[in-house]
Amino acid sequence: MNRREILAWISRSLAVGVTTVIGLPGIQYLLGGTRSNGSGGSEFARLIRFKDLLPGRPMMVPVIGQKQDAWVRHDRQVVGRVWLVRKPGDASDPSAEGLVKVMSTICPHMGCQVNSQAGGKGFHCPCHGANFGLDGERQMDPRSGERNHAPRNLDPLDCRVVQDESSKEWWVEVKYEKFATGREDRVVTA
Amino acid sequence: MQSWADWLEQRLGYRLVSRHLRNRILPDGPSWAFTSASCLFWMLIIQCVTGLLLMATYSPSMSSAWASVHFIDQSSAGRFLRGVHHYASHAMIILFGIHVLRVLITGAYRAPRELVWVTGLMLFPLVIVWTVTGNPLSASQKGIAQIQVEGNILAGTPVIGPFLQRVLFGGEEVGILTLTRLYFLHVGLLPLLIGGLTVIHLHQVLKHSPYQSPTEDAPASGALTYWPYQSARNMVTLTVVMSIVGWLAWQYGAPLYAPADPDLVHTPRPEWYFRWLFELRRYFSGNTEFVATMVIPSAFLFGFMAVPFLDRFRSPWISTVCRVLVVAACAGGWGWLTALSYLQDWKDAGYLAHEAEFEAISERALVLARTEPITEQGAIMLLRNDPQTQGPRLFARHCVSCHSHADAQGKGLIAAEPSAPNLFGIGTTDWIAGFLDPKLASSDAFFGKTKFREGDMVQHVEGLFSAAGEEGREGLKQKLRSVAAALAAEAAIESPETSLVSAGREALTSSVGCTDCHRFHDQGEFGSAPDLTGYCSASWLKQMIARPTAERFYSDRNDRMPEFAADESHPELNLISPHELELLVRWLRTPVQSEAP
Repeated sequence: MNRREILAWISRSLAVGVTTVIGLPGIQYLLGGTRSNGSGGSEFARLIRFKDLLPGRPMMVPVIGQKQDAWVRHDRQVVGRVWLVRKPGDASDPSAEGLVKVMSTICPHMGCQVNSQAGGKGFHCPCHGANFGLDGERQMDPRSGERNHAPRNLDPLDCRVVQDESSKEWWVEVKYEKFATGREDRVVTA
Repeated sequence: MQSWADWLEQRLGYRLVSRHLRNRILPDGPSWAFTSASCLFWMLIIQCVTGLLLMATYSPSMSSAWASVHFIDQSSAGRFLRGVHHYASHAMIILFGIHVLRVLITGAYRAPRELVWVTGLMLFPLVIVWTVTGNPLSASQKGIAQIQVEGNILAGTPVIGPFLQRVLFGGEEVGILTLTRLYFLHVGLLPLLIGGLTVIHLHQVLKHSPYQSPTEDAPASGALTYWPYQSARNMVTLTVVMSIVGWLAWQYGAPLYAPADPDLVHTPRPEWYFRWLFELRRYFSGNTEFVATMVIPSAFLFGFMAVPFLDRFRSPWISTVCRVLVVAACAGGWGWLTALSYLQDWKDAGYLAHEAEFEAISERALVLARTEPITEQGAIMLLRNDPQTQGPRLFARHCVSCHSHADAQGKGLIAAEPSAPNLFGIGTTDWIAGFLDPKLASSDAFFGKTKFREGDMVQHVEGLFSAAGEEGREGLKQKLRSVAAALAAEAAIESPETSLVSAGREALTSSVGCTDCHRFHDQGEFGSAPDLTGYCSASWLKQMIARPTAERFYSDRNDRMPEFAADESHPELNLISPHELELLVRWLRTPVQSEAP
């Protein structure tokens, strides 16, 4: 290696070094940057009194929770919405397993908000026409007759019905989570 | 003057460049077909200039973006500049398409001009992303809903998708950083990339141009030089395009939809240039979806880029046929899918209704923005504090499972299974009179589907009529009308005649006998029927909705009406917040437009 080659090699290496020193943190900054935008949904949030749910009538309720959005923390904000369905039948024990079903309103396809179908028979996504039954099961797409664009059923959420100690009222509570859209498996994003 | 120019020339040597550009001689003479390139270039410059001007006012934050865009629209010439920026972005995409097809048809991509073609094609998706990052900057519901879906599509890219989405959103989902990120992309990164690529593209165009560049100072007389023979055509095309853009901007301005609010109903649809992909993805689902959103568009892009390397036909004739076929297939396929997608929506009554509703809400937001102040909480509060907007939505969410709110023609919100009174015109003389009419009171619009159908109220009114007999019927009707007027005066939505009101007040406590069950000011007792004091007034309605089971209202005789805001110490646990209750009641109490008979 002669002097010329060594100097050329040093110049290139230094150029790569300087680029890396700026480039790598740059990429890291853009990718990482924020901590979660998420909704800290590891705790049960109160949704609605059990007695206010009508059997067989789906009801959309906002979930109020704490939300960290970049540099702002919202203490009481709507972090998402859920569909509640109370199954018809015996309600002598509101805390009975499976009496209330809570589902995310976020369509697992592209993340639009699913609406209640006319007549309350199920749910419908206005974006690509996915239909779901009252239990969140995918149904046939009336537009194409066969295909439903949702890769999975509506996302069920962990819920429970508990009695308030002071007021003795039964409350529906949910552990709110968001899932990645457009895939068959459920991956929690926030 | 001349000496100044000479001084500059000695330092810059610009005359050589300028002469080179101006005196180029076009081998086949000037052509209209070449104007698409120049037009695109000047549109790019116009976008940069108008964009820079908009930046002087625009504020990229969720709470102020919409308001600042509205402010631009209100400021002198701001509406026009934003309109030009908006329509020119669409015009650029159309022109770009035309330009690419023109180059493809004329085969101008051939060696040694492959890089002209490749850099040009690389610019195309960048320009598309440029407009895509610009559309949501107004923080309108439409723009935010679009970027939300576009971000999810991006996240669907195998492996790197979630990272790209994080860069775009500044987090896992659309939040406070998202507009800043879009702004960074739209006015920072993308213009730099597009500018850099444009420089390379133009350098390649000039380096490998078929034009002859005479070295002499003056071109031979009669030579069809670029300036002014081609330039004149370029400027005519640019003027035509900019006239259309300018006219659209002047006439319509850029659209501004309702401020983004997760509460708003909106069915996002992509812009027209993405409609083909929107349609295409209907044929894929689940884990294959990225084929439609990623694989097919990239296949097209790379396939096009490979054209100069694939076009190796000996016979120019076959080559021409192939190129024309490719252009026809692309344009035809694009048009077909786009048309299918729009057709699908035009047939979808539900979608059209959503769109109409959204247009109306957007229109309302603009009206409010002109009349109501926008506070530091942002434009989102315009619609949130508007009874006309929120009333029907709250009614639809909380009330319509039992009550309708529909006029005589059946227009309005209609319960699927009405089981309680129709609340249209609540608190008006006509509406109250319905309860005092034996036929109407037991009809479905009033007590028909409640347990009060067989209740004391209906029986009492029926009793009054049978006691009055045929001859007293008209007199009783008059009297009940005055009672209704007296109660409407309590509601104070309309102002009935004073004489009628005082007659009604008299009758209410005496001959009609309302106060036998109801309380009315200092007459009668609570406990057997709702209070008529301040009947249907704002505070009466609020308390009634909050707790129909209160002693003042139905107490233990309440039929099925839920307590919407019973817990005063913990308003967050109620079905409806104090603010929502206020809006709902204000909307319910909006005077109805009396129809001309």
